[in-house]
Amino acid sequence: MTEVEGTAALTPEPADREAARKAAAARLKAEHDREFAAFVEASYHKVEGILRAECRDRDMVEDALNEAYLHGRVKWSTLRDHVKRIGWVIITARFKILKDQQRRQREAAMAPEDLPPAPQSNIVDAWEAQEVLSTWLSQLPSRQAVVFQMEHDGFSNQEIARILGVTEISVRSYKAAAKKRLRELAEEAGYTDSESRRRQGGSRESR
Amino acid sequence: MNLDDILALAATGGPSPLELARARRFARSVQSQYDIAFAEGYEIIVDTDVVDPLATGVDEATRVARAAQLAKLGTITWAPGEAEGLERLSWSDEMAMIFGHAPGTLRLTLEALIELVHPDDVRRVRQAVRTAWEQERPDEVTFRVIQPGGSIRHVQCHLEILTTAGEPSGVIATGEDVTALELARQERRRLAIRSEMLSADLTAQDTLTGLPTRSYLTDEVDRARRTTGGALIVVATEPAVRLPDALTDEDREQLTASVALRLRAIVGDEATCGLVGSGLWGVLLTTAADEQAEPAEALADRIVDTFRSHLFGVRQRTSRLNTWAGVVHFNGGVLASGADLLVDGEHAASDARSNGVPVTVLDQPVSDQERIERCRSRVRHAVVTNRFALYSQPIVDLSLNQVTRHEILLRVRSGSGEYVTPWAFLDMAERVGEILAVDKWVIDHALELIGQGAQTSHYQVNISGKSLADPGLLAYVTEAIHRHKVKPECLTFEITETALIENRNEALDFATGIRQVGCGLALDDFGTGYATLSHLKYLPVDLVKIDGSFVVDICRSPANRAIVSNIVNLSHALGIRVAAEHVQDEETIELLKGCGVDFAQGYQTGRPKAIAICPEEQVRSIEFEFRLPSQSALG
Repeated sequence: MTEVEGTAALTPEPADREAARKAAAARLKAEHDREFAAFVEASYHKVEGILRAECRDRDMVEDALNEAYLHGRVKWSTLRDHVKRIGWVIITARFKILKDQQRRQREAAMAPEDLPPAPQSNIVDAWEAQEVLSTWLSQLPSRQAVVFQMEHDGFSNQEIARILGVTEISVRSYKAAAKKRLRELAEEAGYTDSESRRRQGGSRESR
Repeated sequence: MNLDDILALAATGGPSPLELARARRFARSVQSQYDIAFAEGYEIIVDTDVVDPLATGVDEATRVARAAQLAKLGTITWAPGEAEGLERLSWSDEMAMIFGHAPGTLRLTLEALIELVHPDDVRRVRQAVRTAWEQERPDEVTFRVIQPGGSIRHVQCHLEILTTAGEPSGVIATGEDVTALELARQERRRLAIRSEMLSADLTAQDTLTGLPTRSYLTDEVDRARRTTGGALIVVATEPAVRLPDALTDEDREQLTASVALRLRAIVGDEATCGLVGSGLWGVLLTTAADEQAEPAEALADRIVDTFRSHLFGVRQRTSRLNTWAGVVHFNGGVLASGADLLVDGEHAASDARSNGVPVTVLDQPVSDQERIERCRSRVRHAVVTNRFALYSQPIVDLSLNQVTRHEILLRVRSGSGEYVTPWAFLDMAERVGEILAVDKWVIDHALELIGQGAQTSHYQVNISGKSLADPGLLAYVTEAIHRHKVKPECLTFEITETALIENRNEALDFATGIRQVGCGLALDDFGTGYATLSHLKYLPVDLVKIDGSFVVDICRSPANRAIVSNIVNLSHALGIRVAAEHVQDEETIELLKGCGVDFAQGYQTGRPKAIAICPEEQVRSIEFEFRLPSQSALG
């Protein structure tokens, strides 16, 4: 301590320097806080959707999101330099879910009886389309569902493979399988003909 | 609108304002958690590497294996070699441990791996891996692993195709031990089957009237006398005029059912009532039930009055019922058993009949001595005065679709001269140890009738399991066979085990002896009585008759189907044929054939018919009576 005092004595206005350091740290923290808040706001919806596509237990997803983002905030100084920050959050949250599931020793897939019934009416807006899509996704094997959801959210095959820890061939295969099954589900629900084609047909008739 | 339209529409909308607000709220909450930790100076431990998943440049196998390792999953990597047998195989430490090996102790080859998989699963696993490789498609496979100690674990693997420079270069299996999950799944499946198979105790209810049976009511009376005490009313009913012979069994059953309905209406839900014999009804009143309940005498009076004044309709005609009742009061803890009290009630009702009063009341059970004496003299009197008749019911050989056998059934003459089913009488006779006399009567008269007939069929005669204890029975039967000139090969004795076989050795002697004479041996009411599986092993049984309670609703009960078809399998494995009782419709017959049952007996194949009203009267010739109803019994 005495040494420090000695060194400090040489430095002019040590209190000011200390204050300046603190101020800089506070500025940095505030900047990170801002960045982080913006990141959460932009990514939360997407991450939640992806996790829910794979895991149907909402509480588990909620817990995982909380932990993953909190850890993300702790490691923000590293994370902010990542190419795709959202990828790390998804990975972290998925590990958390996996651990929870291993601990609870229960099946990831719950019985389809728990699902909300598919809306029968015509789909008019983006929100309704998303709803009906998530209902159908929940009837798919979880790997297919999560791959499809990520593709829908704009991730590339390579990104999906790396985030989920699977091979790229698997991603392609799951995507195709998901698409096929979703098409079947859509047809079962009565969504068979294309909107544009039907309009055309209708107009031709009226002529 | 089709899937593509929906996908396109779903992609147009970002998060709604509501969801954005939720994300902001969430961000604030995370931030504040972080700030609190920061301010209080405790460290939040982040156990995930902060490695940018997209920035690494390792090959796919390493990448997948690393991800698996982080998730505590094991991996096995396979790469094809230049030739067969040169393929490279490796597993992660985690996977080695799943297979029960310490990491690095086993050099993995294809043969070594196949050794570790349960033999029954090897084919499936190889098939799954080959298909995945050939079709370049991921798959999932669950199999059993045999660990070095011999213990078996369930492992689930995710099979994926690896690519190197765009070409498929191998297979990686990511797996975990799912034994706990698998066991839970098996248990769920078992419970589902169990709940589907578990059925209500139908044997406690009479199929015709829906009332509790004699044995159920006996148990209830027994329970009451051990606890609260109470009163038992036994009501005896018989048609005031003899019902015309033209009445069919269905008509009589309809009458019984309407009496049951009326009784239930009078008694209400408070008391337990049951059918305790032909034309005998029991009503149990427990003291604890209701202090304000009407006394047993008053209820008995009311039942008798109502029954006597009511006109019961039978096939467009009406019939009055002569009715009497006996009431037995008993305190909690009396020594007389439920069955004893029931017999006392029957006697009291019978006393009322002979004394010309509506109701007889016993303030307490009669003494054991008196009861047994009375029961014995009743049985002996019935035997001596031939108050019995023999009926015969056809049995169809299901492989021939023909009646090839008949069961000889006993009927007891009731007070009004009707011949009624004897189960209440036999129950009583068995309890007081007088069943042997009845059995001997049946054997003697049945063999006499058979001997007088053409002996074209095969006849099945009942003997109580209790009578087998009598050392003289075999000699008696043998003598009767010779006396009446009956072909022994035309006879099968059905052992009815309503009571335990009293003396195992004696029973075995009889069974062996009767087989030596040339007669067949059958176990009656199999599955509900006292007949155990060990009887099938040491008694030289030729035929097992499955109890009717397993047969009546077999078309609707998967449990009964399972029981019947497995009794058939078991019996056939032991060289024993199988008959089903209480067959009531064509559908049941088809089902029984499917199960491999050899014989069917029941209302569908033919109801019991009188052979002779009474041997002395000889009104009908035996030849006539034993004539087969028709060649195609099922028609």
